[in-house]
Amino acid sequence: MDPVLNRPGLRALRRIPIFSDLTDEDLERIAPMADPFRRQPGEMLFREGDAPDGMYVVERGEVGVTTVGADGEAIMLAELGNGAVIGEMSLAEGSARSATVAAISATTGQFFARDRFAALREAGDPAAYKILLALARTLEERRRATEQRLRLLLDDPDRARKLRAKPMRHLVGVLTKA
Amino acid sequence: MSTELLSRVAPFDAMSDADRATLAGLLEAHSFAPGQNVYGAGDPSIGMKMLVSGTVVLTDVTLTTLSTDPEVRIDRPGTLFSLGSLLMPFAHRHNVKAATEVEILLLPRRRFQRLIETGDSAGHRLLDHLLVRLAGNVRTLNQAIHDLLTHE
Repeated sequence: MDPVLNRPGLRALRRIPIFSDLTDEDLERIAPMADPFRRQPGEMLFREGDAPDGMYVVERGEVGVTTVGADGEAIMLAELGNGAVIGEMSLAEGSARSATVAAISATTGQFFARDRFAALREAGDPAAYKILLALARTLEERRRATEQRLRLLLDDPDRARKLRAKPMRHLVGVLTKA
Repeated sequence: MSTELLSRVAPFDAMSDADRATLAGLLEAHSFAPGQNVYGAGDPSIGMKMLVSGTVVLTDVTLTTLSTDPEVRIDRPGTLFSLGSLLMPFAHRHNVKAATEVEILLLPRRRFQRLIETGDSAGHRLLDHLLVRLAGNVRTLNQAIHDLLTHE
């Protein structure tokens, strides 16, 4: 049996999609970056516009991803549960948070600080760049999916008009994470 | 020739000489006659392409409403095409056709990914660029959808 993958913490890391290409040795270097977090219902992980401080992995619970529409009303973009990876792009680039994320139910998980990951990246650590390659693939998939959604909306103005007329909670899944 | 061109165009102009030399050594040269497809909609992506000389016409066959002009002529040496194909295979959504004699340099995906696997700094620098560009593209597209859904 693999001694590394027998450890519960590392087994959990292995299940995170952006860590799936890492070797056991890579995971050993990434594991110390993880800090446990806990939020009660209604408590924030981060707000739209915040500086990106790191990535959250939800192990138990549920969080809501929202943004604010032109009329000031909150738009629910997604509801995410066990295994969700949130804010992972903060490991890759320094743009402000593009949405607000708050716990819907009691939520626990692991937090990976951006500055610790940046140190690995600046040192040219192969594990950091394998993670960045996985993040880039995720971004490319989102870019293509988002472009397709935009094309559908532009090609069918009626569809866009109908979506505008619906309560904002029905927009879940229309936008993608950046 | 490849190294000299790379030293003049972004993102390679910001790389070290050693990194540019590494990447130049991985590029494949391809020539196309007028009227020949550099790639067509539905073709599998194999890697990033850079225009060296000549003129190509890009045709968006899946949507014309994003642009009033369904055809875009490109003749600037160093223009990059299909950057995303360094990351994963997909079917192209556009046609890129040679309008004149055209020379292209190809960086195959497998060679780029090998650079990442082996921890080569040339691969790291190119991946750094890709991430910034992709994140910007996704934010721009999201903003366009957001505006479309929240404004009359």
